[in-house]
Amino acid sequence: MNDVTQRTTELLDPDFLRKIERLVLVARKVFAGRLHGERRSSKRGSSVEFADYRDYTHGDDFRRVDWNVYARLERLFLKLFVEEEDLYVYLAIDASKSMDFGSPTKLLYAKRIVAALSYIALCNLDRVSVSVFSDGQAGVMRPARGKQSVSALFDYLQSVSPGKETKLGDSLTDLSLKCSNRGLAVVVSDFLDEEYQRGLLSLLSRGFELVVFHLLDTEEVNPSIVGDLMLIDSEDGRKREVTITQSLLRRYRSAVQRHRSEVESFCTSHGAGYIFVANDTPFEDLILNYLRRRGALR
Amino acid sequence: MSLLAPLTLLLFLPLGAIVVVLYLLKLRRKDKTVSSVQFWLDATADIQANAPFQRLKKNLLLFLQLAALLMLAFALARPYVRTRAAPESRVVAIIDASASMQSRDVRQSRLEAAKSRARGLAQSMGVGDRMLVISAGARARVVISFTKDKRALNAAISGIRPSDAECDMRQAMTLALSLIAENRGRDARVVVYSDGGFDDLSSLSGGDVKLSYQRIGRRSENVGITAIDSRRTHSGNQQVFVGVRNFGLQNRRTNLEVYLNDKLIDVRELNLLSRGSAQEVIEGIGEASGRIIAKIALDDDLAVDDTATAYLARHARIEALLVTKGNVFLENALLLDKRIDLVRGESVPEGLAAGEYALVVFDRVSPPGPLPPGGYLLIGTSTQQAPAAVGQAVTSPSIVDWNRKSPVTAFVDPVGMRIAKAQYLRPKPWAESLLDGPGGPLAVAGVDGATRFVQLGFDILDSDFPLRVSFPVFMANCVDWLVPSFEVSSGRSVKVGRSVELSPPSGVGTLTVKMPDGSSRTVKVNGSPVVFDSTDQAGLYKVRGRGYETEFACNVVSSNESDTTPRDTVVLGRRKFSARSGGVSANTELYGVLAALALAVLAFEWYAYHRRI
Repeated sequence: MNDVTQRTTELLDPDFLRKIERLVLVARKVFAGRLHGERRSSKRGSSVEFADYRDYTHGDDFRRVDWNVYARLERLFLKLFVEEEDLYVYLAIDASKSMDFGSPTKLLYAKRIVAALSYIALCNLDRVSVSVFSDGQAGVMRPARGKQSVSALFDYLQSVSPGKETKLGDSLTDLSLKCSNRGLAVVVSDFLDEEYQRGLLSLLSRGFELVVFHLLDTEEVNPSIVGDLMLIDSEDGRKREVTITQSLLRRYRSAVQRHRSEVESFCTSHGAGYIFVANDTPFEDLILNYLRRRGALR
Repeated sequence: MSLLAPLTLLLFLPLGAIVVVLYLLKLRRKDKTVSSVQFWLDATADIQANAPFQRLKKNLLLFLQLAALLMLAFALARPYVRTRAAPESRVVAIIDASASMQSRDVRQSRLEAAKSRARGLAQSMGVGDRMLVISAGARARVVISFTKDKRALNAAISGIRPSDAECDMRQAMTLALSLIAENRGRDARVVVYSDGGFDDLSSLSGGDVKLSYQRIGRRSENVGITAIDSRRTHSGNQQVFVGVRNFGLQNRRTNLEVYLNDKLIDVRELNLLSRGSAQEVIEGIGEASGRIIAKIALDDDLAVDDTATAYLARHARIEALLVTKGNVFLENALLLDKRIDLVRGESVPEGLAAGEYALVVFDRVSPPGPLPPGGYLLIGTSTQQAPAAVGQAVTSPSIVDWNRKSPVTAFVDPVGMRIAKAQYLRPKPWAESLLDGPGGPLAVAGVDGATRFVQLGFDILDSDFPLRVSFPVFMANCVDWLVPSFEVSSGRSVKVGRSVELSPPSGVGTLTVKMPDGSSRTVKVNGSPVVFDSTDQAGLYKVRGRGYETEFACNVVSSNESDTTPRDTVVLGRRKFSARSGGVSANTELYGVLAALALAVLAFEWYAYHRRI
C-alpha cells in the first residue's frame, strides 16, 4: 500500500484514496464479464443464486441437470445459476489542447477524476481501461484488474500530456471500435467540439453504458477579460477580433449555458449520465458527495 | 449650398489619411489565447446577423472621427446657403427714427425694436454683402455707408438716436433709391423699418426696386396735441387754440392743462371718443404775453406729443416816415395800421441817418446818400441801394403777370390795373419782380443784408391802384414784410425739425443753445440771422449770447406722428408693399453649424470609445 501511495500522491491524496476504497461504481446495465468478479453477469454461471431452467441439449454438463425435476416430469432440464463476473470500465480522457487551460488545468482535473474512478473500480475487481484521445485517435491502455494495477495505471495517467485538436467524433468512434467488451464508459471532456454527438452515439450504439463528465474551466464559464482583444483558438488557431463589453459578456455566458444544456439534453435523451464539473469544484466534495448524490457511486 | 473656399476641402485628404493611420495603430488588439473561440463565435452570432450594420459598427470610431474631420474641412471651406439674395447683395436699411417710433407699445420702444431687427439683418449678411443704414427723422441721414463690417454696422445702428420730428421718408427713400441706382447690376434692396407713419410715397418712382417693409409696432393707443396757435384779437386780447386728437380705439377722458409762464391758468376736461378730436380755445388771458404750455395728462404710448408750447406776442410800435409831396392815399393806408407812428415830411429829416425809423416811404422823393438798415418803400424813385435800376419809360403799360408767391403781393389782384406812365425796372440779382409789364418788371422787392426794399416803377397817383381794393392790402403786406419784427415776443414755436432763424445783435460772437434734454450747443455767429437747425427734440430751447437772450420751442403737432397706428402697406410709386413682421432673408454661412456638429460627433466618439458601444 505504501508503494501505491507514493505513486499516487501526485494525482490523489493517500487519505483520499482510503476514503474511496469502499465506494462502488454504479452500472445500471448488467454486462458479461471475462473473469469471475463481484458483479452479477448476464451469463449463467456457478454461483449459488438460482436464475432459470432450460432444456437439456447435447453436450451439456450432466452435473447441472436437475434430477428432481426429471423424476417428476421425465424430461431433462438444466438448472441455471447467476454468474458473478467483473465489469469493464472504460475511462476516456480528452487530452486535446483546449483541456490544457485553467487552474488547475482541465486535463489535470480530468486525470484526477479518472484516477479516482479507476481506483474505485480496481478496488472492486472491475476491469479498468483508461484511454486518452486527441487528434481523432484514442490511445487505449490495456485493461487492468485488481489493486495491484493501480500504480501502473496512475503512471500512465501521469504520462498523459495535452495533444492538439480534439475531434471527439473520430476519437470516441475509434475507442468504441477498439473496446470489444461492452461495459461502463466514462468520458471526461470539455466537449468543445461540434462532433461530440457522433462520438457519444457510437459508444451508445455499441451498448456501452455512458457517463459524461462535462468539464469546463471557471474562466470559461464566467470570463473576466475585457477590452479590444484578438482571441486565438488554442486548438485550430482560429482568430476572432472582439471588443469585450459587459453586453458581450452577457451573451457569452448565455452561449456557454446553451452549450451545457445541449450536451445535457443529448445525454439524458440517450440514457447517458451527465455530470457538469467546473475545475474549481473541490475534488473530494465531487467524488465523496456529488457523485454519490447523482448515483454514479455508491 | 455653395462653398466660399472649396480648396480647403483638400485638407481632408492628408488629415483623413493621418486619422486612418492613427486608428489602425490604435486598434492593434492584444492577442489572447483561449481554449476555444467557439463560445465567442456563438456570443457574437446574433450580432453577425446584422452584419452590414456591425461591419459599420466595428469601425464606428473611425467613421465618427472621419465624419468630424470632414465636417471641420467643410466648415473651413465656408459653405453658405443661398436664399433669396444673390451674392454680394447691397442692402439699404432705412430706420424710421421719428417721434412715433418712440411709442412704447413694443418692448422698450419701436425704435429699439427696429434697431434690433436691423442689427439682426446685419449679422445675417453674407460675406460679400454690404449694408448701408439711413436714419429717417426730420432729415434723412446716412448713418453708415456701404460696409460689410458687421461690428461697425452694429455700432452705427445702435447709435441712432430717436428724433421728435416727423419722418421725412420721402427724402430717405429718394436717397436710398439713388444709392441703389449706383449699385445697379448687383442684387440691391431696400429694407424699411418703420411703423409706416409718413407721407405717401406714390409720387416717387421706385422702378423695380426690391423693397421689404418691416412693420414695427402693435397698436395705436395714443392721444396727442395736433395743433397749437396763439393770436391777438382785434380787441387786443390773446387767444390760444389747442387741437387734441385721440388716435386710439378706446374712448379717453383726460385733462388739458394750460400754463402761462409756468403758471396753471386753465384746465379743460376732454372726453375723446375713439379716433375723435377736440378743439379748445383758451381765452381770458387778456393782453398778457409770454410762453403758453398745453399739456394733456395721460399715460399713453407716445409721450412726446402730450406737450406743446406757443408764445403770446405783444405788438411793438412802428416808427414810420413818409417823405412825400402829398399823397393822401398813401398816408391813409399807412394810418390804417394802428401800430404805426407816422411822421410826414416833404424832405428827408436828419434823424433818418441815425436809424430812428423802422419804415421809410419815399414817394417821388429821391433818398439821400446811404440809407441805414430798415425797411424802405420807394415809389416812383430810386437810389443806388435800390433793388432795381430805372430803365426805359413806358406809357399805359398793362400788368401781364405778378408774383403770386411773394408775401408782398399776397391777396393782391392787379388784373386790370391801369397805369398812365411808368418806367421799367432792371432788378438786381438779389431782387425779385412783383409786377410785370409787357417790357419788364414794374415793381420789385429785395433784401440786401439788414435792409429791405419794395420799389415801384410808377407813381401811384398816375394809376388807379390807390382806388383799388388791393391797395390797402398791398400796403399792409409791405408794412409786414418791410418791418418783419414788429411783433415782439419772448420766443416762438416751430415744428420739430424745422430750422429756426436767430437774430442776435451785432457784436455777439457765439450763441449757446440749451437743448430740451439739458445739453448745450454752441453756435458761431457769422452775420445775422443765424440759422439753427438742430431741432430734433421737442421742448424748450434757450438761447444766450453776449447781451442777447431768447428762447424758442419745438412742438411735434403732427397727425402723422401722433397717429401711431402701424400701417399695413407702404406705397412706392405704383407698387404696394405689404408689411412683414418677420426677418429679412439673407445668405447665411454654415461654418458655425458644421463646427458645432463636428464637436457633437467628437463628443459622441468619445462616449462611444469609453462606453464601448
